[in-house]
This record gives sequence, structure tokens and C-alpha cells, in this order.
Amino acid sequence: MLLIECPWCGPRAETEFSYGGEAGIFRPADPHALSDAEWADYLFYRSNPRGTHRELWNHAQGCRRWFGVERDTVSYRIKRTYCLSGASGGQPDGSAGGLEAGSGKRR
Amino acid sequence: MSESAPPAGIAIRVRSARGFINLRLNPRNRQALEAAERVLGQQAPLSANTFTGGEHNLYWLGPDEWLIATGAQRASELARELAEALKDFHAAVNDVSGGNVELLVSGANASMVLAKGCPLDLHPRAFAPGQCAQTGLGRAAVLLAAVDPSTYAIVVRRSFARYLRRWLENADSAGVPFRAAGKRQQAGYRSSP
Amino acid sequence: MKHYSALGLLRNALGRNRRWTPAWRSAGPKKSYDAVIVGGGGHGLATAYYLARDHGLRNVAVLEKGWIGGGNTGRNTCIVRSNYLWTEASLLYEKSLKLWEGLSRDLNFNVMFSQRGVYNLGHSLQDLRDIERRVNANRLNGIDAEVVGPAKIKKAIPCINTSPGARYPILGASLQRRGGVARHDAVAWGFARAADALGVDIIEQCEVTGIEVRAGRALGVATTRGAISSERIGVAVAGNAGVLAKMAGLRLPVESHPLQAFVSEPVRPVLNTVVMSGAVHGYISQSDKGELVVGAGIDAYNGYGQRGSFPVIEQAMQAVIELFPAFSRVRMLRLWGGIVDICPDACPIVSKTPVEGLYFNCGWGTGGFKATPGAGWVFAHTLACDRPHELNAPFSLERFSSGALIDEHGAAAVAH
Repeated sequence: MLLIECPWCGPRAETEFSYGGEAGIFRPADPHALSDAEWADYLFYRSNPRGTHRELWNHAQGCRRWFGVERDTVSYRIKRTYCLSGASGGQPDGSAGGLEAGSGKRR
Repeated sequence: MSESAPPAGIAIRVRSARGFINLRLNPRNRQALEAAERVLGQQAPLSANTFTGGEHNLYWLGPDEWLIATGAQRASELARELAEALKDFHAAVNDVSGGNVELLVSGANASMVLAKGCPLDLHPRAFAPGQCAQTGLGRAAVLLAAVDPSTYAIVVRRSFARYLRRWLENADSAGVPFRAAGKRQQAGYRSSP
Repeated sequence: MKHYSALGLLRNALGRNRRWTPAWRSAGPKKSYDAVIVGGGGHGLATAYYLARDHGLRNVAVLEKGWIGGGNTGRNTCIVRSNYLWTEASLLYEKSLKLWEGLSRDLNFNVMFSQRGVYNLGHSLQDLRDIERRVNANRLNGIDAEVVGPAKIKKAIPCINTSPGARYPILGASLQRRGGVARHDAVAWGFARAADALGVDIIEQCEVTGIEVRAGRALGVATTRGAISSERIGVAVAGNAGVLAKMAGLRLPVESHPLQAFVSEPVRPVLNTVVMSGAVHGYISQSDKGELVVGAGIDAYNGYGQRGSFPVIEQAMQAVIELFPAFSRVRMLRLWGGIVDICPDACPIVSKTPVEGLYFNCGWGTGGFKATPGAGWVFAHTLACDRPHELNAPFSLERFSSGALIDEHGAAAVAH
């Protein structure tokens, strides 16, 4: 059982989360400009490291936010979890990241 | 053969005539937040996993999402007022009254009965009155809120409500006996033969 | 190799079993080989055996970082079947099933292949439609398959719960009577012994740490027991395929996940067939020792840890108890996890690579054990002839860019 630290809700049991695969995979801006091999790389090829893996998790049974996790794929130890940039509502600490300017903290 | 443990004696009741509204807006947009709060007549909790009481209960669901629990009669009207106040903002107001049921579980051992099927640490040190959490309970997805040291409110999908109630009754009366700890142990209560 | 026979058994019994000789030599690495197989599991050993037997390549080494059969070969639920949906996949698995049928005789080693039938249950109308489609497809490919209803299932498996009131009622199943189970360790030992007899060096405790590639050609491997040169390198390392690919500067479209299984205490015979359910995520059979062998779904996250999470075990147990309420009192004894390498289309890669002389057999996901002899057979052909056999030609690495995927998620039984 993994104990995953949701950036918003704190440590929660693995059963509350769903796994979203490797982080940092972005849909190419212009798919038509890609070769077949490049498109296959985007669709199917993942780094699948034996060691530190940057991945996405969703707190599905909790606050339903996506966030990033750095986890060792051999020991399964979670090194850190972090908010994704641009998350609506800002960061748990009230720092930047929201869609609009201003602090997430009240006054 | 082992006897089943005596019931821990929790009370489970459905809080009838409740209405629910799901509110989404980005609290960093101060004007939108204040517009909503004016209609609600109370502040929306901005700290994760807390709720505020008042005329309505406002539960934090996410950094840009709340559940408003109020009287069933009041809900649709309140939803309309919120939608009107927020019509110029990037916000969403949904009356979800029909989809949810609120259960109240109370009793000195309530937290220990819940703990049989909930992965949260329900010790008051970790989950004090005023805190809420969306989590799993007996495999159902629920919103769990600590109302006072011996009362919990559970908001659950209507289709899971009957199941969850039966699960709670079962957890209370039979199955694996839990060990009552320290001060919480009631007179006459046997943890296990 | 000493031929095993009933007479030999008797003779050794009378001689108080003191005259048995090791089934295979403990070989040390030579400087160079005609072919090197990385990975001493069932697939690697089978590859070496068929290379030696069918292609005359006997100067072959199998390199294993631990002990043979200690990876996924020893960490599965031993199920053998060939009832896949698409022609390409069915023919490959059927080749394997045909080899299984004669394997004990071929190897002169009892792999305890038992064709006790495999039921794939359907719990919804859509499940049943998929089952009918798959059964029809199997029959068109000459593979035995039939659709059976709940009454027949109940008759064949009295302890199964076919009541309509079940959470996931059993509405029917596909049945492949030629499917069954085999003894996982015996498969590794049998192939090792037979390959060794043909001159193959089986080198344990020898981990490959690098692959030497020069000008697009594989020239050899670096190992914990020294460098070994070879112009033909076949990699059959299941979950670690991505790691080996990286050593040669390649990427593979596979992701490694933990897959768990467990056995109960031995109980009296209650289940004489194999029952699988993709919908409730569990599969179960009873071993000859009486243990119930239960398989779970994969853990969702990437992992190389050879262990998974308890919620997945709980889910599999719930599935099994759902199907067999009587098993709720059975205690589980042992639990294990393997690392499965999952392809996006739930089909394997048995292919040449952009590096000349380097071949990969990987991506079998949750279905590798059943394919052991067949995979070895086609992989040996691919290595020996430097081109795939027609059975594994569709399972090339190129299919991910050409788009000719073979989607077997429906028949793969466990969610990939």
C-alpha cells in the first residue's frame, strides 16, 4: 500500500488515488507535422525507468486534483509530490499557480 | 467459537430534507468569491478539508470547489441566487440535491466503527471537529465530516446510501471486533472474548 | 544427458537415489558465442533449446542474473490457452499450445501440462457478445472453443456461484478444453536440461550490465562475469526489457508493472479446471498439491519491485469469493509479484531491432507463461535466420509506427 501525500489533502491511502502514467507527456502542437515515428513516440513510448519516475496521480476519491509525484520504481518510495503549475485555485501554500492574480489566502 | 462483539452502540440516522449545491469558482478571483459569499451569508472555507457551519454547511471539496448543504426547501432557490450572482464570472453552480444523502453517525465509538472501513486516521488529533474529507468508507466514496467528538456527517451518493447504512449497521454490530482503546472504552464493553 | 524413464526411476529408487546426476551443467562463460540469450527464464531457455535443436546453433549461452526460472517463470499462475481474438495472436499462441501438447515428450521431462480446460466467464450481455465473437474467431482459425451457459458451467464446476442474484452474475463463458495449466518450474528445468544436453551453456549469477554496439551492430555484452562477444544477442528479460534496451541505446513501447498472485493452503480437490474472469479481475485454478492458485490484476503504477499493493490482492480475493463463496474461509499461504512488461496493444514484441544482431522478445504483459515454447520457437527462428518467422512477423517493433497494432485487450483477461 502506498501512502501518497496529496498536495492539498496530505497523506492518504493509495486506494483513494488513480494513476495517470508518466508526467510531462504533452500532445504535440501540430500532429500533422510529425513523422510516423515521432507520432508513435508521443503515443506509445514512455521512459519506464528503473529508478526515479515522474508521474501523475489523481486524488480520485478525494479532492479530484491531478498532481505530480516523484517515486522510485524499485523501492516504491515517494520522493516528493507537487502541484502542477497552472492549477486552478493556486497552490496549497497560497503561492502562484492560479489562473488569476492574487493570493489564495483570505486577506 | 468466538462470540461476536456486542454492538458499539452507534446511532445512524438519515438527515432528512437536505439539499446540496456544488459550487465551483477560483477563490483567487476575489470578486467572484465575495459575490458568492454575499449570497451565502457566510465565508467559504479556504483551508483544505475543513467546513464552516452557519445557515448552511460549506464543505471544502477542492481548491476551487465546495459542497453547500442546506435545507431541501432552500436549495433550488439558493442555487438560482448563486447562479445569478456569479453569472459574470468563470464559475459553476449545480443543484445536486437529488444525488446525495446525508447520514449522521453518532456515539462514543463512532470513529472506531468508521475506522473499520475508512483509510483515514480518525483520531481527533488528526481529524478534529470542523474537518472534513472526501474518502472511501466501506468501498463507497463519501464526504466525511467531524461534527463534534462523537458525531460524524457522511454525504454519500443516493444509490450507495442504503448499502452504506447496512454496512455501518454491520460494522457496528458484528464482524471483526475492534479494540476499544483507553478512555474511549465504555463500561461493560468487551473487546473480544 | 541421462534419459529419464520409468525403468531409470526404479533403478535409482533401488539405489537409494544416490546415482542421480545434475540435470544440467553449471557452466562458466566463454569469451565468445555464436548466440547469447539474455534471460534464463522459460522464454530464454526455450529459445536456446530450439536454436540448438532446429537451427544447429549449439555454441549458445543463456545468461541469467539470478537463478533460472526465478523471474516471471516462477511468478505466474501457470495458465495455458490460445483463445485470443485476432488471427495473428491466436496463431502464435496456438503454435505454443501445440508445442505444449508434446513438450514433456520432446524434453524427456514431465512439465505436468494438464489440459483441464479454461473457462473465461462473462457477466454481462456485452461480455457474452464478446465471448461469442471470440469463440467464432477461434473456430475459424482451427482453435477449439465453445460457448457454455450457466447450467453447463455449474455442472462442470459445482462450487461456483451461478445464482442470478450475484453481484456479477455468471451469464456464460467461453471454454477452451485444450487449455489448462503446466508446472512452471518444470518448464524452466525441462528446457534447461534439454538445451544443456545439446551443448548450450546455462550461466547463472551472470548479470548483463551493458550491450556493446558499434556502427549499428551488436558485438557483445558486458556482464558481471566478464565481457562476452557474440554477433547474435537475443533479449528475453520480461519486465526488465526496457532496461536492456537502454543499454543498446534503444527505446521500447513497454511499461513495467507489478503483477501479483498467491496460493492458499492445500485443500482437497474442489476445482478441476481453470476459471478466469476479466470483469471481476481474478483467475483461479487448483494445483496438483491442492493449493488454490489465484491471480490478481496488475498494479496500475509502474514498478520493478517484484511486489505490489495490498488493495489489488484484496480486489482479487473479492473476485474469487464472489465466484466461489465457499473459498471465503480458505487461508492464503504465499504471495508473489512479477514484473510484467506491458505493450500498448496487449500483444508482445518478438522482433529485430534497429541494432543489427540484437533481437527482443518482450511485451508479453500478463500472458507470457502460456507462450513459453512458442515464443522460444519463433524467437529462435528470428535469431537464426535474421528475419522473423511468419508467425511472429506481425509482432514487430515497427507496428507501433506503421499503426498495424493487434489489440488483444479483450482476450488478455487481466486489465493491461
